Amino acid sequence: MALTHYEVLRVPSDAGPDELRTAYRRRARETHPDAGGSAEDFAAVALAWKVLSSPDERAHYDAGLHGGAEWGEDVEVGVPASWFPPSAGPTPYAPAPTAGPVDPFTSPPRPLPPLHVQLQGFPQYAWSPPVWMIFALIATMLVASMSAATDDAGNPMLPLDPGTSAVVRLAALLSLTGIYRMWSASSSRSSWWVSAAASWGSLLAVAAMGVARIGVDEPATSTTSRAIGLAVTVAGVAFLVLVERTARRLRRQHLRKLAVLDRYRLSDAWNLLLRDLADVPGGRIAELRDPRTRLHNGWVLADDRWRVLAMVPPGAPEAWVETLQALGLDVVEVRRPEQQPASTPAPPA
Amino acid sequence: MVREGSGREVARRPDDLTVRGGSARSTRTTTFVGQVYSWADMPPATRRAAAHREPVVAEHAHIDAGAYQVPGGFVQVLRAWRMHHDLVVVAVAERAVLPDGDTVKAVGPWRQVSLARHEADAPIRRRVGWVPPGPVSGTTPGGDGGDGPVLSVGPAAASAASTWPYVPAVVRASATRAVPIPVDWFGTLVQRKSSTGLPLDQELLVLRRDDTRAIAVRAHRGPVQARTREEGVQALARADWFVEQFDLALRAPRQLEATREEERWP
Repeated sequence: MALTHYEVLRVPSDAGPDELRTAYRRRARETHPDAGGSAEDFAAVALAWKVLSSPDERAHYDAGLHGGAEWGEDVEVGVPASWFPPSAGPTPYAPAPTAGPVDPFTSPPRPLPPLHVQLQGFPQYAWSPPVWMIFALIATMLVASMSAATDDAGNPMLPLDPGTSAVVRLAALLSLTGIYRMWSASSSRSSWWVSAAASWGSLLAVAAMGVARIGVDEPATSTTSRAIGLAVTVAGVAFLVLVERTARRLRRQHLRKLAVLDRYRLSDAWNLLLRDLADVPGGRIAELRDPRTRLHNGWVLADDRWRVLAMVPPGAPEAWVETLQALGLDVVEVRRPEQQPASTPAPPA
Repeated sequence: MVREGSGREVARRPDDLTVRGGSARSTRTTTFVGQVYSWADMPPATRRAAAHREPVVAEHAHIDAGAYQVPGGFVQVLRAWRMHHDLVVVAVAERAVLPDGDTVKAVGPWRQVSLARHEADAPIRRRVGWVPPGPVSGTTPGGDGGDGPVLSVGPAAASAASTWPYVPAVVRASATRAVPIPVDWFGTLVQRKSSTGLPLDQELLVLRRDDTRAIAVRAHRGPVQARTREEGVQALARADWFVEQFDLALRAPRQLEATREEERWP
């Protein structure tokens, strides 16, 4: 067992300042290398005095000596650590209780949940969907090209009758459309709508082919052919409906994720602004308006001479408030820019 | 050694004296230099012998500072550890080096020296939490941690001794209570930076193991957004650590592929 600083000075742990000073002088004389002591012992005595003679450091040392504050929560290996575990009580990172509501324009910067915590709840893919889509694309193109390939004499390489070959090519078309539709779920808005058009176009093609195969206007069409046509139509429509439902789910997920990312970026920018505000003497936050349209265009941090030091986009304080409210803090809502008092004098030219 | 009043020698916990209770060293004024090593740098034979089916929860490798003189030349020593759900592996490798100015130049591949498997006696326990860095040690602004006597620890524990003060005090205290006098004590503090040189995040890894218990501390903080390097450094130094502590109760160690004793190094 190691010696505590109190044991090094040979005083009780509730010793007063005078007792500590006397003990330090005595122990320093005893352990001084010139008096036959060792340099290590002398250093330990000096350190003990340095720590125990300062009330703040002594308080810290005593806290550590008596076990210190516990930290964290016990979590099984492999289980993601929750952000605020309901059973663990207050954690050192929990937002500190405040006397009143937090004002986003005067508050000091506050620790915000990191991005990976805010993204908890979104599905994590071992292989991202684009990788699967590339595999599906390659397989589809391979099947389609094989069904259409012919040898030197013009004979098809696969022994398929023309009807079956057309069905295979139609399946390839559907598959390509489905892949494009799924891919566009996490892409731009224009891609999303283009893929929707492609998807509906494919549906029409399937329906047209199915109707042709069924041969509604041709009484001579065989029953088998009609059955195949009906099956193709039903399967094609069912496939596209399934693709559409999955794509819409992925799209909703993507938009939610974008919103979280946007909120994270904006709230972090506002936190940086608050940190700078605390560091700049006479600093103030002012609303930025477009000089021509007078529309709200963001927020700036200016010093006492109205020099702009930092700027954040519109929506940053709202995102910051939303993030902290999600943590359970009482935060004042941001006043709408139109309601911001024009209390800030016009900056000098 | 510090002697008690009776004159009996007592073991000293080096970390008791590196920082004062309750405080931790700040990375604000720390310079990050050196090369980062990993388990993959160990010789293939060692990695094969240490292969284990259970997932790895933490691992780390580092090179002892300087080189050791041995009969026939100099060697550099690479130490690595790996903690699985039910096992801790500690491996040592060496390679021949030649003096090259102020540094040394490798003249041979890494060769295995020893490999010890410490199997668990109970399921692994994990503690996670966000921990503030706490008060900064040192009396100088920014707390460079220059207080207290400079400790003399063995070369194997030198990296851990320099890393340990950066661990938040509450985590240090709990790890020290669990493993007061470590047999293996390894650690490292790494700071990653962006392509433009701005600091991004920091990771801290420490293993403390004695004959009955092993504690691995893995802490991470960041990434931070900063416009300048100084701003990034300060933001990181203020940021809270996300700490994971893995705790394994151990059986008696099993030495595998022990080729040589390592006591011949100074």
